[in-house]
Amino acid sequence: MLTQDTYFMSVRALGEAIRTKRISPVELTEGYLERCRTIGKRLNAFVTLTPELALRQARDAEAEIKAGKYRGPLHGVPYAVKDLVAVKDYPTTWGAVPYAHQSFDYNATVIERLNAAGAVLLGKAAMIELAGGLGYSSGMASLTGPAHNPWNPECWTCGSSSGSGAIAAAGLAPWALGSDTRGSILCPSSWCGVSGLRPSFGRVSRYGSMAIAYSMDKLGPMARTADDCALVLNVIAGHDPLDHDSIGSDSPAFVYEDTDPNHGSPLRIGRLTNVYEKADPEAEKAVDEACRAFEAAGAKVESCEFPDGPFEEAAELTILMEAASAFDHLVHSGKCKDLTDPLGRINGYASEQFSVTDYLHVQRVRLMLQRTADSMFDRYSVLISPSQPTAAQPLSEKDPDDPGAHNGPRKFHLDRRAPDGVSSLCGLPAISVPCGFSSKRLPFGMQIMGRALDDAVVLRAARLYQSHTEWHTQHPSL
Amino acid sequence: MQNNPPSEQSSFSRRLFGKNAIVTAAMTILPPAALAETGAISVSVQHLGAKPEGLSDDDWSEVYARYSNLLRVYGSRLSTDEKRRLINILTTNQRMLVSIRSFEVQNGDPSACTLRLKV
Repeated sequence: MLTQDTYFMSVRALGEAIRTKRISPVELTEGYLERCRTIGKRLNAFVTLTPELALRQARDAEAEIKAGKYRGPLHGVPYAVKDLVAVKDYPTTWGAVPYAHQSFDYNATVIERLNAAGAVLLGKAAMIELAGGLGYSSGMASLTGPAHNPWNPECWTCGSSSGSGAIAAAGLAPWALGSDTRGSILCPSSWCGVSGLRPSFGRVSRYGSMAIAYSMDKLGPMARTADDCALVLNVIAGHDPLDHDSIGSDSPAFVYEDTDPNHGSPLRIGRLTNVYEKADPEAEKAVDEACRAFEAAGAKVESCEFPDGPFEEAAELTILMEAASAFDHLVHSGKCKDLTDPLGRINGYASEQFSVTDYLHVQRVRLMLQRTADSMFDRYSVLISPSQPTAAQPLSEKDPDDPGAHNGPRKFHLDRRAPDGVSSLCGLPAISVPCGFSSKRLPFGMQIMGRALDDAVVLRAARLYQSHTEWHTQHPSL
Repeated sequence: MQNNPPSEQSSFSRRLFGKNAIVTAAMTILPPAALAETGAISVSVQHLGAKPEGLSDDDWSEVYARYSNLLRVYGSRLSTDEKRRLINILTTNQRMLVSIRSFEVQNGDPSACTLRLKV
């Protein structure tokens, strides 16, 4: 009989326990599946469970390890995957009514790589419909209903990797795969109090995954620790000729060297002070305290400002324009009316009205913004800030920026340098790690972002922080 | 139309094309009020309302043009409330475009989506 603490162990610890035969992958999988059926149901965390597949993979892992064939730290370790990633012969609903009965006869590249690593798939995680590709105005916008935050079920997980956030936080799996076009890994990781890595654009193949914005979509892990994120990235990263935007072999590959993050040259950390017009002072305070932890660990920290520019607008417009193409069949056929969210039902009609010139102008500005962002890393190894300006918000709350609700200036125009938008637009690697709690006992996240393709320095900074703090070890009582 | 001789149909099509081209050109250069006076647009635009604060006449004309085209193509699918919401969405989109356009680019500034060939 496994204890409750087992379900909150890190991937590394579970992998080691499995390798040394202290934990049976089959028993572990059965235990997680039971939690998925009970706690997962309460949280609306899953679309589909895959118990037959999971138990077969767990039995195979157990047999292989017993026979001396050990595949690595994910061997026999369960996980969940956001339901926009194709798993052969299982439903892949994209979280949306029009695709409720969709399935594919092949696996996405990430699934193939995880299969080769001996990982055990528990199920498909709930998500915001189309990952918000046609817009949404609240956490209710999902085929399976709203995902509930394990720290307070009255609050939302954030999206669009809503189920993946709930799963990792509630100990329904040691890690879950999410996707991020503009903050969809970073925000749920922040609000759910887990470590979530959005790798550099092109680092992880998206072949077999739903597209929203071809130039911005990324896949990445949400887990208990930055070290776990690195272990997963080590498996799923790498060139894939089936993904047009996959980083080629002429670029540096990601290889996780899990050396002590305290060793090596001191990190130069820029603490961004101007990314939010209005943030919860408690969230800012949590990051200020993180700065002191970094300094105590030997890093050099200084305050800095992010250059001005229409980062958020460029990100938003790019997504609107590319999504209008990605989902043109839904828009033209009128089937977008079957989406749950009132915004999603009509937004594509408006996005179709952009011109080619509009799109190219945004992309020309985008390149200049990328260069502006990149110049920050001449001075700093990484930039840090609150991942989100607040902790988790009530599920009942509507998005104050819902463009259909009013025609006045939107809130995000004040947050045009929001760090999840900046890093998404520019394809930068970023991680959100837990860094404290609000007075209502809701987690805060700290975003750490680095130069494009330097995923390793982001992970080193996060691991350094987690080697000197214990926020990431806390979990909700369920 | 099917009964018309081919020559007449072609002639009519050319005239129609010419008329549409004039309307399209007008939409790009005339403010909404002037456009309404021409009576050239048959779509319902009563939902458009007053020009929102912070948008120039030119920007508001652009919203008008996009909304008119949207109604031409999809108007029959949309409820009154959805039309009202779409005006808000188009206005928000316009505000973002204004912000982007204020960021000056030169002729030689390339696009982030330039095709890169790999060997």
